Amino acid sequence: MRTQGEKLDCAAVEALLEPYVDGELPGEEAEVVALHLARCAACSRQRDLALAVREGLRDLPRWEAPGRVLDAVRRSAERSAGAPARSRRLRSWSAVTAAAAAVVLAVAGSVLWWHQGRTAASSRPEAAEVARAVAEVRYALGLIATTTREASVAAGRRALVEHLVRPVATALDPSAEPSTAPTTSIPAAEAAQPGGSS
Amino acid sequence: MRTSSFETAVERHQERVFTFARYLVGNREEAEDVTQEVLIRLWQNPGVLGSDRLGAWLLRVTRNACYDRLRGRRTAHLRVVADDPGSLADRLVASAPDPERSAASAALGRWLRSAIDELGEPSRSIVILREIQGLAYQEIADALELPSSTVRVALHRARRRLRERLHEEASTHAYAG
Repeated sequence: MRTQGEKLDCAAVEALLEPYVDGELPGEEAEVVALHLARCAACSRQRDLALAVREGLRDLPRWEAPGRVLDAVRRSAERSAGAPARSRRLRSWSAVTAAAAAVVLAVAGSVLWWHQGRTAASSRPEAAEVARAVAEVRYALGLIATTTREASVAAGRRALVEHLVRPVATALDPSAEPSTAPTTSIPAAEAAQPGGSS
Repeated sequence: MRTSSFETAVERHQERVFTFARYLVGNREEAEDVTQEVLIRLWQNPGVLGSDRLGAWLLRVTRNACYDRLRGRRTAHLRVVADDPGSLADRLVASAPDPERSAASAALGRWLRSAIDELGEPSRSIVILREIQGLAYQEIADALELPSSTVRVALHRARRRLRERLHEEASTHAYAG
């Protein structure tokens, strides 16, 4: 530490100037610097510039984040916070869908069982019987469509069409051309209707 | 509980995050995007809420997000057009009349905003956080993961560089005049 009796050259003062204007120098050292500044115009000008830069920086603006940004953040947080509740709703709807699928399975199984019995008795089902079976499958599919649409799980519905309804319809009429398009209609079942492509 | 803590944190820190981002990326629009991104990340990291690391965490995430954006740019952002620093330096000295100094201070602000961009890291972040945003050395040290003494030395060095640049340009101006 320098004392008042010690003189500083300009280079030494320059090295201490920033801590000096911040008031961070110990008392005696600050006094030595102050003495030099009082006698040296060049260093005194540097001190003025140092103060100007320091004050200029401190006067630069700070900004509040715009309200729309904070609103967007809050909306995002709310959506995120609501996600578990939505998951619970989806799980609930999935249970409904599963129950509906069970109904379809039961109906389809009955239709298959009934149709196989009929096939043993005659080589071709009567048109009215085929139409009734198709109507039953369509009814069940409609139930599935309602529940899955509400639960936004159309994929499950498509899977049911692909793996359950279409095989049933094909079993009813093996000559029907299977369709690959996952539409809301039942192409294979329609093909089994009287007057269809068979 | 979490929502309440989050709201408190947003209210308390939004200005700090947005200002820091705006100086780092250099424009309002991107600073808004960064602020939104940072605060959403805060929501996704509830462990930080209520922690004494929160302020430092936010500034660190803000800085990283800003530099991710800056790295993605090929050119630097548009800089504020500065006044002639030569005449500025003359008007800023203590001996200049008050009206002149007042006008010069506004011009100095514009010049400084441009000059800060020329500083390297971590000096630039330190100048913004310390001088503009008024953080304590230790807060800056925590945010930038540097020793407090390093922050202090880097700040003085950065301010000295700004002062020297102002002085040099003033000298050039004097010779040119």
